[in-house]
Amino acid sequence: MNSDGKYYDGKSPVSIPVTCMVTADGLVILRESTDEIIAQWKRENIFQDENHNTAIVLGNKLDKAKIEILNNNITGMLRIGSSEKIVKNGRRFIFKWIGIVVIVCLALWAMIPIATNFIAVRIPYSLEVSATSNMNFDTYFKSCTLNPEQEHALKVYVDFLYPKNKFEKEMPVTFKIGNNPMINALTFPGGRVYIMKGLLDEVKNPQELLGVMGHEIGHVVARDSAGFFVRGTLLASFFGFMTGDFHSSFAVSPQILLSTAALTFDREMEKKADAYAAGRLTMLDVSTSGLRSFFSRLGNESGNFSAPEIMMTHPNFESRLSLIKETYPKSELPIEITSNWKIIKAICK
Amino acid sequence: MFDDVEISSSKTKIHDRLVYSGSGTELAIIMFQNIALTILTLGIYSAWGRTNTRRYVWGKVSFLGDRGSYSGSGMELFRGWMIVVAFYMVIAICLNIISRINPFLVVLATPLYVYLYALAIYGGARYRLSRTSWRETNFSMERNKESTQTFIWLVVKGVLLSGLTLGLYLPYFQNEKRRFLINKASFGTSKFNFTGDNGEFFKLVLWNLFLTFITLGFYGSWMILNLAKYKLKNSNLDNKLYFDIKLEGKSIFFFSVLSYLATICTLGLALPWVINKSYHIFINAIEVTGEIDFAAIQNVEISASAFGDVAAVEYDLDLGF
Repeated sequence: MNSDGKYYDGKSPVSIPVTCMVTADGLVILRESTDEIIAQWKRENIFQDENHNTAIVLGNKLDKAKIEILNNNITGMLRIGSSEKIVKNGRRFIFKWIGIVVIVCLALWAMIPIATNFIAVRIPYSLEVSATSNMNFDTYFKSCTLNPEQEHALKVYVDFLYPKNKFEKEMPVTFKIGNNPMINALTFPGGRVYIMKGLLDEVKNPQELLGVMGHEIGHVVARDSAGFFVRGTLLASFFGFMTGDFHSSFAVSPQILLSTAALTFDREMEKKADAYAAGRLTMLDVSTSGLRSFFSRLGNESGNFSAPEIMMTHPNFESRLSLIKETYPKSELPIEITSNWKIIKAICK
Repeated sequence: MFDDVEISSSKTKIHDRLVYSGSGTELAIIMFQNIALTILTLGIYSAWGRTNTRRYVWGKVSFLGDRGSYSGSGMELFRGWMIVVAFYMVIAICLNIISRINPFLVVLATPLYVYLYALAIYGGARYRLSRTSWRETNFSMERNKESTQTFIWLVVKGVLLSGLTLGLYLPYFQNEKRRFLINKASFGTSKFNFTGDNGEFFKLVLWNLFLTFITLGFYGSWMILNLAKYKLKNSNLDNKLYFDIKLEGKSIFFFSVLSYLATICTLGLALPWVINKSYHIFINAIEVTGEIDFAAIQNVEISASAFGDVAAVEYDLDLGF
C-alpha cells in the first residue's frame, strides 16, 4: 500500500515530495521523482506526531525526520494511530460542542447563586467586619455628626427593627447618615449602612423610613456584601475561562458582559432584601404601605421612566410593588418611634 | 495569489505569499470544545485548549506549500501557569506585609512589575517562537543573562521615558523593543533583522494618529495597515528574504465593522468565524520575496520555559503572533 507525502529530514528546511510504501518491516520512503530510497523506518520506531491536529505527520524515533502523509491510507496498516485526532469540519461536531457549551454555561449560571450563597454564609461575619475595617466610607459619603439626641433617636429606630433573634445578634449593624443629596441607602461590608440625606428628606413618615432600613438590614442578614465578592470572583473566573487567548478579540469587553451578568444577581439580592423588609415590618405590626408608597412615589418622580431591567441593579418599581403585599397593622406605631420622628428628620440640617 | 518559485542551483527565488487555509467551523469546534472542557475542569484545561488552538492555527498557515507547526504542550503551559500563580501569590503576600508597615512603600514594587513585564514579553515571544517550526526546522530566540539584562534595561528606560514624556517616547520604545526581539529571532541558523528607524516610526505613528483623530477614528484601519506594513517591510531573514503586506485599508475597515456587528448580533457565537476570517485577511496578504538557499540553513535545538508565555497571557500582552 502506498501513500504520497512530504519528507522533512529535520536538519534543514527542505521539503521533498515522496511516496511512502508499507512493507512487513515498516515504511520505505522513496523520492517521488526518481523512486530513489531516501529512508527506511522500522515499524517499532514509527510514531504519529501529536503536535499536529491539521495533518497526519509521522516521525521516526531514531532521527528528527518527519513525513506528512497527504492521502492517508497507511496509518491503519502500520497500527500507529488514525485520523481521529485531526480536527474535522462537520455540522455534527459544531452542534455537539455548541450544545455542550450551552448546557455547561446554563448549569454554571444556575450554580453561581447557589455556590455564592453556600460560600458567603460560611465566611464568618467577624472576618467580614475585620477584613473590611480599613475601608473608610465616612469621608467619601461625608457622614453627618449626630448629637446625642439624634444618636438616641436613630438607635431607637434601629433597635425597633433589629436584631430580633440569636442569629441576628451575631451580626451587628451600624447606621450612619451621609450628607449626600442622593435618594438612596447603601449597605457596605461589615454591616455598615449609609442612609443618604436625600433619602431622609424624601421619606414622609416613619413607616417609609423603617421600610428602607428593613431593606438594608435584609442585605446584611443575607450576607450580600460577602456574596458580592464571592459572586464577582466566580463570574470573573467564568468569563476568564470562556475568553482565554482571545480576550482582546471580543467585540464587547468581557468586563462589560461581566458587569451586565452581575446585575442579574444584584436584582435577585434586591428582591430578597425587599421581601425581608416586608416580612420584618409585618412581624412588628408595621404597615408595608409606607414602603409601597415610597417606591410608588419614587417611580412617579422618575416620570415612570424605566430603563430595561437587564441594565439595572434594582428591579423596576412596578415589579418591586408587585412583590410587596400591603399589610394592615392591628396597632399604632410605638410611641418612641413617632416621638423621635422629628429628631430624625432634623439630622444633617 | 503568487506561486512563483524558481530553483536555480541550490538557491530558491521566492515571490510568494503566506497562506492561511483554516476553516471557521473547525476553529469553532476547537474553541467551543476548549470553553466547555475548561469550565468543567475549573480552568485547568485552558492550557491544553490554548495549545490545541495554536496547533490548529499554526498548522493551517503554509508557505511554499508546506505547513507550519506548533510543538508546545498543554503541560508546559500548565506548569508555567503554576509558577506564575505561585509568583503572584508571593508578591501579593509581600506587598500586603509591606503595606501594613507603610502603604507608600508599595510604590517600591513598581520596578518588580516592570521587571515581570519585561520577562513576560521576552519570555513569551521566545516560548512561542521556539515552539514554532516550518518544514520541521525550528524558529528560536536567543536569550542569555546579558541579553535579558539588556532587554530589562530597555523596558525600564522605555517605561520611564514614556511616562515622563506623556507617551511621546512610546513609538521609540516600541520600535526599540521590536528591533531587539526581531534581531534575536532566528529560523534555524538564519537570523532575522529589523532595520526600522526610530525617528521614521515616530513620524509615522504621529501622522497616523493625527489622521485617525481628525477623522474621528475612521482612519484607524489604515493606521493599523500602515504600521503593519512598516514593521514587515523593515524585517528580513538574513538579508535574503523580505516581507511586505499587500492589503488595503478599506478591507480592514469593512472587516472590522462587519466582524463587530456579527459578534454583537450573535452574542459572541460568531467569534471563531470572525477570528478565522481575520487570519485569512491578514496572513494571506503577507508577501515574501527574495532568494535563499534553504539547504544551507541548519536546524537548531531549542528549549524555553512557558513561564513568559503564561505571564504574557496574564498581562494580556499582544506578542504579535
